[in-house]
Amino acid sequence: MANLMLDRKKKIFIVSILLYSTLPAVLVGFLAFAYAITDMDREIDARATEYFRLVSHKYETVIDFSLSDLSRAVGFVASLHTLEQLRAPGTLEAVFNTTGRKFDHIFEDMGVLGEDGRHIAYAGPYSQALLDKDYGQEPWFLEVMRTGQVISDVFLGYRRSPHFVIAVKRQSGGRSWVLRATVNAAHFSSILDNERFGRTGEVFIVNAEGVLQTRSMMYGNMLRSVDKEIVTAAEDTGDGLAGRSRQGVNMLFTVIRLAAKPDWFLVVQQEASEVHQMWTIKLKTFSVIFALGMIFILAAAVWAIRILQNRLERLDREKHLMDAQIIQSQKLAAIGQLSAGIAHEVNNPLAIIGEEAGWMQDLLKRESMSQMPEMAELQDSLREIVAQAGRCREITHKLLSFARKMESAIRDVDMNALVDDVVGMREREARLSNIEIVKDFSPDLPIIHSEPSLLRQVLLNLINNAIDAIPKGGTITVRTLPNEGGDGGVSFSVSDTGMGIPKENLEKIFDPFFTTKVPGKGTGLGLSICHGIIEKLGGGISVSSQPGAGTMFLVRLPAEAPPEAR
Amino acid sequence: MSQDRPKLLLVDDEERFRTTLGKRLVESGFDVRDVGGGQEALDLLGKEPCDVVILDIRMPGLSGLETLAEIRKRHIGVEVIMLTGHADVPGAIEGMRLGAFDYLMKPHDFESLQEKLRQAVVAKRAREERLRKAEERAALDRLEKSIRF
Repeated sequence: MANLMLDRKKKIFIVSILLYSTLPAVLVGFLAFAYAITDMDREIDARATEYFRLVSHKYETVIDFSLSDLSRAVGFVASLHTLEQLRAPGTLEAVFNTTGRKFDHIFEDMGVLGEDGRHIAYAGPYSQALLDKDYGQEPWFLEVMRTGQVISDVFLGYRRSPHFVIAVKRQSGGRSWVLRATVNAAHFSSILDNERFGRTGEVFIVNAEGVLQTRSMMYGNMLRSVDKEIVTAAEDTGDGLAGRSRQGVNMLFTVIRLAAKPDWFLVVQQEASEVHQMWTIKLKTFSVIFALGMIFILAAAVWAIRILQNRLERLDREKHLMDAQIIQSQKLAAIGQLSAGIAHEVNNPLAIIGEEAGWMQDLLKRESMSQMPEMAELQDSLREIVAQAGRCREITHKLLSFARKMESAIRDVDMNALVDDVVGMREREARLSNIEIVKDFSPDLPIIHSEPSLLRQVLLNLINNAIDAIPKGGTITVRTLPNEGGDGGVSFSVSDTGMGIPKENLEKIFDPFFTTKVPGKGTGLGLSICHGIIEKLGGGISVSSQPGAGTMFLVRLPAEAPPEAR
Repeated sequence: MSQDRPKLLLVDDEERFRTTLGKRLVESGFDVRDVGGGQEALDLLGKEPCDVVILDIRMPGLSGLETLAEIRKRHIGVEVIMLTGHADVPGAIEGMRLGAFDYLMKPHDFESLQEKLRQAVVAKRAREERLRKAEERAALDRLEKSIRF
């Protein structure tokens, strides 16, 4: 039950820390995300409008420039020559070839027409088919006669291929004549063909009736009708962005009237979904970054909690051990007091038993008793009573001295006697494990002032460790010696022929809770307590070990324990 | 020889202990009185001379140490051996400070008690001897002085 409660508490603890550490970040992230989404439409509009404006103005410029360039070229040729010159055989061919080279062969042919719309001269590939054709009623001819200059819409004409006409009217010798150049519409269209962008973005031209003047990816080849809607939109939007739906596809577009030919409209369009796609890609990237960020924050939080939890658990464990230690020492103290009390109480009856037996022995020595039958048996029995009472006395005295040693006090310490005492306590058990304890005592050891009960504890701990370190028999050597340098202090060492300690553990060996014993066998406190005791007594403890060969603990004690130890 | 037998006073609240020990000490050649408490001991000492007092520390009524302090005040010549439980070592040490001759742990070893008693008697007698001699010398001195004048 207690464990279940603990688990529940632990879970609540972990979840609350997770929430506290990640919730603010998650909230901020979501707010940013929501803001980005609500702002998306406006953002798309603004960006797309800007983009379309840029693209449309760029092509407006290009097309206007090339159209006016071509018109100027035709006008220039007409101005440069008289009708007679152009009529002269070869002149028009020469002019056509020159302009063809100059203008990348965009002109299909050139012709000079009289007032009646009939060819006077012609240069180009269609001479047979066109020379005798009458253009008198063609819309462009009528217009050029009226206005002096024209750029026609694209049409098929007699040659049955899409083209448009640039024509100028001139007067010479009282007669009007027209110089006409034909522009290959496919060739012209290719200027814009190359300028597609994205997957669905394109630029094309329609005339006032909504008929394609260049090729369109979406609507098809030249001369196909788009719809007039796209033209009327030009009036509405200016150079702004318009949207329309065609066959379920939403398109965004702008329309600009061309300055060089005002009834032509330049259209820049792209599928709305593609325009949005740029944004959705951004959104996706943002989402991924957001998700990664969240994962990172969560992972960091989990990681931090793990560490925290481990720390707490360790602290908890340490506290439990400490508690156990304190309880243990309190128990020991209580046992000591109890045993002292018992021993004291037992002493009086023991004294009486001893005296009574002694008195009987005295009586038996009297002459009147000399004839006593079974005298020898009686005497033997009384001797035994005295001996056993003596043995009991030994026990109670030992108990009492143990209890007294529990009280800490600085006393004269004969280290040899103390070591002998403690070794005596462990010798039997060591022998059971096939371990011999060798005592190597220095005969002229100074008496020191220290706390014998603590020294006993340290020595007992070191010997116990040594016994544990020898699994299959061996030797433990306990040495005493005066301190090097003759400061009046005493050193003692406990060395074993056990398994030794690896170098990496040697540094940690005096750390609290460091243990290599299986859980439950050792608290990992023994050596750290020893270390604390020896430091308290003003001495030092050191360890040296060779894995496989054994370990030696050396304790050095001063002649006088420092006053604060008292 | 009867008055040569050292006079002992045994003070212990455990009656059976003091009577038996008393009998044994008589058997060993001591002249033994025994009482069950500190006050009785002081009373008896006021009436009869005594060489050595064997004094238990833990007693009801007047404790061993209080009795010892009184004895030291009233009967300078009497030697005291403390009998103590082991846990009363500080008490025993305090007793030594108050002027006890020695102390013994209960349950004691009879031989060592006899030994300590003898030492105490010897010490007491030697002191009395010194005292007597000193008094004699003083008397002699006084005599000498009176003769010279």
